[in-house]
Amino acid sequence: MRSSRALAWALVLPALLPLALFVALPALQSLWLSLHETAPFSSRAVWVGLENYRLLAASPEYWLCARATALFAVETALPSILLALAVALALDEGPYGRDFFRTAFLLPVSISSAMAAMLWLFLYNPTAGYLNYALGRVGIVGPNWLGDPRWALPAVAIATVWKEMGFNVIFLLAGLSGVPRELHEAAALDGAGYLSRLRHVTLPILSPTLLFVAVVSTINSLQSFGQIYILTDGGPAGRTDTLVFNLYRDAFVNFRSGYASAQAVVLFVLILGATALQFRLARKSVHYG
Amino acid sequence: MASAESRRRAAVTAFLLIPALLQLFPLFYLLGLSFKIGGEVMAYPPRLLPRALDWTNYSLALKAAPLWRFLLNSVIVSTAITALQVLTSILAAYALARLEFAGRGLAFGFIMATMLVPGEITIIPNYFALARLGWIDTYAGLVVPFASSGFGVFLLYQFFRTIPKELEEAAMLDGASRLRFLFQIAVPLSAPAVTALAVYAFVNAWNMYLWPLVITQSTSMQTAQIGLGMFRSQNESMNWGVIMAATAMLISPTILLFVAAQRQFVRGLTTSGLKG
Repeated sequence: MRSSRALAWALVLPALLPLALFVALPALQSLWLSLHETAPFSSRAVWVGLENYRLLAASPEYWLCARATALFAVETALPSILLALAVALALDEGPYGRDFFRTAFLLPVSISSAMAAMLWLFLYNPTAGYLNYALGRVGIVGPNWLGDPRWALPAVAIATVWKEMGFNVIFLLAGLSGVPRELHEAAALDGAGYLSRLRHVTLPILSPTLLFVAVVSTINSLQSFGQIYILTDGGPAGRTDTLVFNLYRDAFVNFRSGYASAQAVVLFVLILGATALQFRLARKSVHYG
Repeated sequence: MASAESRRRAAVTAFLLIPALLQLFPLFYLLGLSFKIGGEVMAYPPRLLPRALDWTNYSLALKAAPLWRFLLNSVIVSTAITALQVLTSILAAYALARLEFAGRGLAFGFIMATMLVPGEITIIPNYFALARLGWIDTYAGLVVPFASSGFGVFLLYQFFRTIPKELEEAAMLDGASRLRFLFQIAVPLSAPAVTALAVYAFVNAWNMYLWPLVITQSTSMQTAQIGLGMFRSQNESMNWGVIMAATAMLISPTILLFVAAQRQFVRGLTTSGLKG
């Protein structure tokens, strides 16, 4: 018995130790750092209590970051879920060349957000980019996507949706495979049309998957970094300066560790909060078979 | 009846073609651009296809930056992270799923809880800790913080639990040790999950951005992701055809891996129980 206990811990520790040292411990250290003022390029830290949080709350710039982040979350999560739902429903109807379609939708998922951003950087180019050329062909004068404060955030969102939609398609397809055919047939016999079956049969059964996809998309958007770094570098006029981007700059460009740690803690709480809220809201409408 | 069915299928296919082509277009356009030479790149109206399959941009890109070195760094780092995560996940998931021991619940809860911690909150203290160890700008600094993964443990735990107890008892009656049972029976039985974890870990490691950006300093230690940033900052002066040739080179490994291992990736991910 003793030896099997020793064996068990010997097996668990190689996974447990790195998680304790590089995830749990630094999370607590961030909390500690956030209560301190640190000088750039020095490890001297002075206890300041909640001063960093007070500074954050009083900073109009930080509230603009919060606003950009919230807008970005809506502009990425909502379209990527709705588009993925439409695509998954269509894929579930047995199109020809299903494998081709699956690959086409999943391919961008394997690319990093930074690499995806490089593709879009040129598509968005106002003079030679293909996007404005294509819009011009249908009579629309495209904006200077990444240079126009009104369009920069939606532009980053479009590139993000392009990259992440396939991930949602994977999960929604899996969820759809759990919808029993007999239920559809019974509803069809009762004279229910496609939309009515979608509303009363498919979507209720799909709701746990939709919830999962919504949570993951929101969390991903809160953590987006690579595409912003490549496409806009937080600009123009700070319109794409999100919470994570601001954190990166304060930590590794301005070297304000305490202030940046307070931002990390806020971000952590927001991510946990978003998860909890979505589970709460969905409890009423989600059906767990 | 049959024709109504095939009409419906044709309609769905047509509906899907538009978004599918839109998804593929940026990649296709990148590839075309990487073969366009000189003024062809900025020509208006832009043409989809290059005049010829000219590899000039690729050799220019290789002269402008050590692309092979970036790729090698990414291969080393991603392979090491994948191997470590798969191994540590197999060991821990087996113990948690199949051994009874004091503190099991605590260890399991702790590992699961780490999945909730976003990387952003760990990055600053980790940076300081690794700086003290002298691990800035080293492979160890890029790899060791990701030696294990709560998700990996969780994924394999789900699979190991489904293996019948009788199978393990029979193996042990035959004199097999627990580790032998684990590696000769449990792991092969869970091959789809292990493969899925490996592909998933590799793609994630390959695509990591914020941490390598912070932890690497010299060009020779940069991964593909970070090396690409060099081209970003030169986009005013450098020909876009060259930039896209570099992007194509750095992007292709994960795309090839994904196309090859797509099924395992999807199967493992969706059977992990994460779907809710």
